[in-house]
Amino acid sequence: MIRHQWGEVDSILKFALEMPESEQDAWIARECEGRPELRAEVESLLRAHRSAETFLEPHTHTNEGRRIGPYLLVEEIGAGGMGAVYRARREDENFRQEVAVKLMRASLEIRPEAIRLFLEERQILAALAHPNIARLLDGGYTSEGMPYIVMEYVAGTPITEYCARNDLDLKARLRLFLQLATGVQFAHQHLVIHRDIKPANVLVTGEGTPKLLDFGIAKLLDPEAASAETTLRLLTPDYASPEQVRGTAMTTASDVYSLGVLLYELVAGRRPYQLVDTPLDQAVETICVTDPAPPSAVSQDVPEDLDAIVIKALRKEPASRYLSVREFAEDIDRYLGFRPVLARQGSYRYVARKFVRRHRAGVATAAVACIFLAASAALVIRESQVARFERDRAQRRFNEVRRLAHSVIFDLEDKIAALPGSTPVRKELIVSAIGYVDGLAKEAAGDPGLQQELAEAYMRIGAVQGGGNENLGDPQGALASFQTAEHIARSLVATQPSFGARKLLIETLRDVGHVYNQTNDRAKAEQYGKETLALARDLQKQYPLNEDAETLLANSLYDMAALTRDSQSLAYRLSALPIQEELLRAKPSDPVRQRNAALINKFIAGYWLIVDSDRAFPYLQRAMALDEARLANDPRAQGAKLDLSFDYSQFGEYYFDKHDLPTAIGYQRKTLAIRRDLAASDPKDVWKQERLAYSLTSTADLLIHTHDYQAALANLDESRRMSERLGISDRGRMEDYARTLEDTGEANRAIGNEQAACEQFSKARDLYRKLGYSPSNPTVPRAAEVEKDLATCAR
Amino acid sequence: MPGDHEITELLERWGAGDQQALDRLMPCIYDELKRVAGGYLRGERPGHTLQPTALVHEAYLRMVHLHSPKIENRKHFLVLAAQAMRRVLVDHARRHNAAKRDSQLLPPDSGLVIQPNLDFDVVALDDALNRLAEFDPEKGRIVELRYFAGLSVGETADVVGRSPATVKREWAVAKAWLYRQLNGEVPNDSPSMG
Repeated sequence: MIRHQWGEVDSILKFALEMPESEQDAWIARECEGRPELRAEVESLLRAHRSAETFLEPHTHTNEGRRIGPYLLVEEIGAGGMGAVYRARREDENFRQEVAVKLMRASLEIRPEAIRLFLEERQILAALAHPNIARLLDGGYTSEGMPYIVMEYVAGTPITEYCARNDLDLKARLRLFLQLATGVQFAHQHLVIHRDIKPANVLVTGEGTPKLLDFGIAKLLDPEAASAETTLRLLTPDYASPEQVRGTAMTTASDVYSLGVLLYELVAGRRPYQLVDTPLDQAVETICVTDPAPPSAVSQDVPEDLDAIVIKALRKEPASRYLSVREFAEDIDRYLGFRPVLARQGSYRYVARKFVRRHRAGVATAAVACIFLAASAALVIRESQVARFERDRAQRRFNEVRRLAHSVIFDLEDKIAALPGSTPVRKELIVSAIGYVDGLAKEAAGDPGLQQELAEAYMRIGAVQGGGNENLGDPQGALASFQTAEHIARSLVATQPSFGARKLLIETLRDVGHVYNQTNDRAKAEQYGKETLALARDLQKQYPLNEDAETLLANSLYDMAALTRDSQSLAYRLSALPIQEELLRAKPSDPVRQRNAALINKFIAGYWLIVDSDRAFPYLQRAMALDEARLANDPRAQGAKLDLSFDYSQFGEYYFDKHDLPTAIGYQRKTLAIRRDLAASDPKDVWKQERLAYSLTSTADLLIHTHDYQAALANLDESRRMSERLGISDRGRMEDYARTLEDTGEANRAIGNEQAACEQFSKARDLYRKLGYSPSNPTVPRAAEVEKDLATCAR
Repeated sequence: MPGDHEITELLERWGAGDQQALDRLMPCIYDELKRVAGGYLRGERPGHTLQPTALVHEAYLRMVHLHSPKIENRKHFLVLAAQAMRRVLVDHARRHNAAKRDSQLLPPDSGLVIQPNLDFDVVALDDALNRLAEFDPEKGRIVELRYFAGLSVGETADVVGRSPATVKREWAVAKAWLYRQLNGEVPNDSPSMG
């Protein structure tokens, strides 16, 4: 066949595909008459077409036609990140009902986290029983054990289309909007932000009731779903608020904004901005910078009051908008009742005019003076009302923001912290939330509950900055945050030494001490450690049966153990161990307790590994069993993986001590594999990178002992590059780096690369000296060894 | 990797028909997609089949953040992303195939075990698609966008500037041709040669 025939094949086939299958063959035969080759080609492709129905098409896993419980899934009507929504029928003998069934994607089934989130949506919906929100009817589990949600099926029309089709007048549109607003307000009262209010999610039923749909992204935090959804909304940002397109914190004010866009469209007939086909950066700029034309500029019938109301809802700054949907709705209500709208308050003439209009009948028969009198009286009354209103509003706002900030700092943070690569996001999240809480704290300096929350928030941010296991490597920032928390806690204990306040103080002191320890300020770290331990002992004495007090005591002992050496350290740990094991017995599957018990065992093992490795073995086994149990409970737990890698590494040391090199190397490789994974999953987490570098060197150590110098050098090179990339900034890293250099030297010397070896040795020696280690110090045998290594080097 | 301004400029030049600009742009998109896809391909998100649309959107979002606010519009991005996505998948499949052949080279826990749910060989599809594009480039582009970037018919139509009906027809024929190519029922007189 020659190329120009492809055009013919293509067009004949396309035509054929447009007609019913029964006519295709005859048509092809006619078109290809006298040209058997052409006909054969078209027919072959047609056959291929008939078998290729699902070929290259997305895997849909459609459940259409399937029966779930009493529901028959009729057709898929929507799909989101986590699941698909089906129109379904419930059919009993004398009862027929249309419903919407939301099913989780089958591919998500092995993720307990996803199931948890799905169930959470179910819970959110269950709380939202409101006539203007599509309601939850039922829920259950499929035969495979997947949860599903049954919702009211809303056979309706998007609100904008409904208004246009029924040619509703302005008042009718506003009334419809007000109904919708009660639904949104109701959701806000239940601390649910919808975040995706747009006509497609607001359907009006045949009876004229607007219903808010799709809480799928309302509060769900499925990382994949959320990011995809965010993007999709970024791509069609018509209803998105400035804070939404910027990706900053969203609040109820964001829903106010989206409602504002919707109202604009309802009264003016088009959206405030024309963003179709606008490049994204311009769209973002428009949304964040450009003030929209008032609706009256688009549609002359829109009265000034409505202009003011819509514009207020669309303000760029969330705080300048209506502070709640209720306030927004109330203003529309005022407009409908000819009362002055808040959006235009402040203009006397305006208020008087409104008054006249409202009392038109009365005014007609009254003297002019009376009008002024009445008008000024009305103003006085209004003013006192405003004061009360303001006070109530301040209180409401306060509570609302506080709840939101609380949920951001605690609920969201916990969820996000479990995801790999989330460290910077967490910091941003907390910083923005802390801004809220901080502002509130100034307003309510005497509120101990709030002060406590504030201290806890600062502890969280410190952990993300540099205190926690997964952090941004900013110990100074962490120290500042922890000290702020400490300061708040101390003043709380001074005014009211409650259990909670004392506990908080102990926790903040621990955090501060940790940072000092981490930055090698030993004296300060010990000072904090001792104070913490003393306070914890007191607290535990006073509340002997309290688990929190026991935990604090165990943790303080554990901290002191970390600050002391050798047998003293062992003593602290051995006194912490029974407390910790006891706590674990009380809650055997609590991951924090599992971890703490494992840690203590690990450290005791660490001591014995140096002193008498046989005695280390039972502790090692206990630690590994605990970490493995924790990981089995939550296979995605990054912390558990890292912990387990330490166990493997310790077993490596143990078998090295027993001269079983193959087993030792096996364990080091297991360590390495875990750490490679962890380091790759969160490249910004310096701790994980650091541990990987360390592990590479440890493995190389063993490889040198088995004379596998090439493999050792490969590991060492990688370790060295990683350390250099991270920066040799503190003592721990310097020490690790020196060890890496020394091993590199050894391996180089063994393969006869003497010059390189001597260079590495001398660099290592310089580092040991910088660290203040002298060859005569018996606790740093390596410093002595490297001098010996260097002795044979040419000067 | 080019800087922010350069990216904008490259996109503009490419929009004006400069193919070299595309060659320079490609690596950034490719790297970004690879990063995004990495998690899926390494099986860090177990149970997920590959969802190109989600990946492309995720990559887009990150690119926007990286080069904010100066990345050009979505159409350009989608074409690039489709090509990059194709390379990500094909590269991955190649590596995976190689690893299978020589499994002892594979570190014990490298995680290179999850393959997107496919009923056929992506590498073979890639070859076939190259051949198709030789004599019908538009179909090649449509397949790239539909399959590798996971775009719907409507979105694809938007990007290639054709009506959805046209895209649907082109897609159907392209699929038939590729299917035959991959499933062996290829007559001697294949139109792949000119």
